[in-house]
Amino acid sequence: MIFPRLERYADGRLAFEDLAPAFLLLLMEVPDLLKTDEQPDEVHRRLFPDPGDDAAMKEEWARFVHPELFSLLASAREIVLHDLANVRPSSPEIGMGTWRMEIPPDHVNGWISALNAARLALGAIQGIESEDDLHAFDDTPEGEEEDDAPVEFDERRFVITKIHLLGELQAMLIMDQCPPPPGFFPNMREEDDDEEEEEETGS
Amino acid sequence: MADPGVLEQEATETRTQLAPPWNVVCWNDPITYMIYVTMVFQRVFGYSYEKAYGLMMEVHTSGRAVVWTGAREKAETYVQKLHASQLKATMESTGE
Repeated sequence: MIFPRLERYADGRLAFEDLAPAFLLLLMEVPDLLKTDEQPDEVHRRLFPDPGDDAAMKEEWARFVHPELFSLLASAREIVLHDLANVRPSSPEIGMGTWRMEIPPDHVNGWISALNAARLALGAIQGIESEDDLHAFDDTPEGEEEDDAPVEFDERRFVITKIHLLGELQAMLIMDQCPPPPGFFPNMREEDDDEEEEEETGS
Repeated sequence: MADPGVLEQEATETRTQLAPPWNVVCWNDPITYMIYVTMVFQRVFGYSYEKAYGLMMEVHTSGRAVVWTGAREKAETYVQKLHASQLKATMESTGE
């Protein structure tokens, strides 16, 4: 699968380049997941949690805070719809190839929030409550790597893949907006180098 | 009988008791990315990357962490901001 890349321009604009059709279709699902008036209860509970167990506090929160949170999510949804409406082919020659989506500087936070909310909504629909749930399909069971039998479609697995792919896009934006200070993850850098060396020597 | 030229004043005692501080607690969530939580802590509380990352790790490993303590009104504002970023957050009185 072709992974999109994030380009930053001198004037602060960002753009997802090389968006494969599958990624674009996935992004087009985001606005529907953010419709607060159509969300299932489990999604609503996750996106608009209570501030504690106290009944009076919960009532006050639902009355005064939740409407503001609905409004914020609606704003993020508008941003997503706006930028999706301006998606263009990466190149006129490519035709059915990849796509380009520009994100104005004042839309970036809306996108980060919208992608997060969409991932949480998908997770709530699937009842994902633990890391084990989220990574249940990460590894091919030992001994099945050579199995040529077609894998049956599994909706839960499919939705978890969507959560991961939306997360990849969100992570690109976060790393652009809020990168760790230089040298903060020195070990990670070394591991990456080691992996690259292994890949180079292994091929 | 009281002297009409003198106002009698009852002895009073004023005790000032400060309201107990409130904790803002953030709860672990398997879907939300660690880098996202770190970013939100920086933006909401103004923490350094190091402090925000440390608190995020505490949330991740312990299931929850007290991310701020102080006056109730401010705690409410912070919980609202964390909810606006879709983090699971609650507030609890320290009861001190």
